[in-house]
Amino acid sequence: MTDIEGTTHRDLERLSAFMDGELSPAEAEKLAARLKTDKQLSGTLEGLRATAAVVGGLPDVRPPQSFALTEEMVRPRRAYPILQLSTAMAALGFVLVVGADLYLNNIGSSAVDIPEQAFFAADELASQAEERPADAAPAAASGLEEAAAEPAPGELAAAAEPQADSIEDADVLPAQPILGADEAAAGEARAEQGAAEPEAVFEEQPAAEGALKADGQRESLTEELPAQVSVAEEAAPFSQGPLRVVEIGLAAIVILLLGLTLWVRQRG
Amino acid sequence: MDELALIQGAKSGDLDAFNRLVLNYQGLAFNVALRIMGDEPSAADATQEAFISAYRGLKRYRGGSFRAWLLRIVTNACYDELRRLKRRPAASLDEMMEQEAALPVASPTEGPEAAVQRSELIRVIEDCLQGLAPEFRVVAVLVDIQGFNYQEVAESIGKPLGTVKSRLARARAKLRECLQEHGELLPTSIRLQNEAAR
Repeated sequence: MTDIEGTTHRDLERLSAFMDGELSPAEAEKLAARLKTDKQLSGTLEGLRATAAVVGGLPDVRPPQSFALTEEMVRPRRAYPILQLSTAMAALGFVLVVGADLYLNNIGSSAVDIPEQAFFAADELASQAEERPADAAPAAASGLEEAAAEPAPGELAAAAEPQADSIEDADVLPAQPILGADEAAAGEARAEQGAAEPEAVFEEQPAAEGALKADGQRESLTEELPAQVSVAEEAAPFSQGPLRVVEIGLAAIVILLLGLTLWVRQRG
Repeated sequence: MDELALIQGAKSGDLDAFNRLVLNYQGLAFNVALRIMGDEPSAADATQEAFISAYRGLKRYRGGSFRAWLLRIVTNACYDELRRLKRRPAASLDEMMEQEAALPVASPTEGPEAAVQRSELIRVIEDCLQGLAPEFRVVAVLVDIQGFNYQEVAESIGKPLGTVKSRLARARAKLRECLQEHGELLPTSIRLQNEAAR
């Protein structure tokens, strides 16, 4: 890289330091030897010397005033330490609130994860139990209605069997197939008797009992849930709205106080 | 009272002791600020700010060259003032009038023409200095105008020696280019240099 009159910046630096006596003796000797043979280099050196001399010729100017300090000028700034302290307190508050929020969220999410799965399982079982007997019940009921019109025990038994099978599949609820089978048998018996009483059958629907049992299971699951659930339930409302509002508020206060502190500091 | 005793006194809250230091250094501080800032009112503001900051920060002074320590505060005050002026560039009419008034008047030994030429040369040098970036200007002012050595400049600006060397070389090269544009005002020695270079 070249600067003035084809002199490289490195040489310019050397020349500048050389004229101020700031080169090491070895470097100075080397440069002095080059200066004897290199006219361009010596011309640049002379140019730099003349420039420094002209700039150095600027006269000193007498200060227009005394800069001695008065007591008033150096009086301790009262606002500044107060602002500093307030900013620090607000920042600390913000950190604590954010920390609390994160902590509660952490507990909340870990505690809620497992219970949620348990609730899901219980709900699924309950809905299966509710759906299947309920599906089967109208089928049985309609079968009974049909049987009331045209008694056909074979059809009723066929209608009852799949219902029983399907409930048996749900081995979690072993009581249901028995009920379904009982109901089917009762329906068959009634059909045989020619006495169609679908409403009465409905009153004894396994759907209701199945749902009750499922509810019982859910209740037992809920009872077994660790105390974390209650913690999570308590934590959830805190970590939502109010904490966020406090966080945003504190962040705004910190920014405001920080700006004010810097402004006061700059003004002295 | 020697400088060290004054510094110790000022450190323990003796404002009079500090003001004696101010009197010793205010000429240097103001002239450095003037060459960095380019005008007297801004230089005076920066100098005053620097002395206030120096008094408040005196506890941080851990020995060494007090002059270099003080000039570091002065250059920092100048940078702050330059930043402030950059945000509010409009100069007041009063400030401009004051600047005009600061121009040198003819001395009894020189004629009016020579006085005008001299003041014109001063204006050209000041303009060339102002044409440099502040970090280059500071180094040129401290070495070429105030006669500091490189080590003191390094302490004053808080940069390594190599940076001082590099900045000074660049500053001088740029100043030379700028001054060559006003050849007719320059002393004969420089004019002859220029003609030889061509």
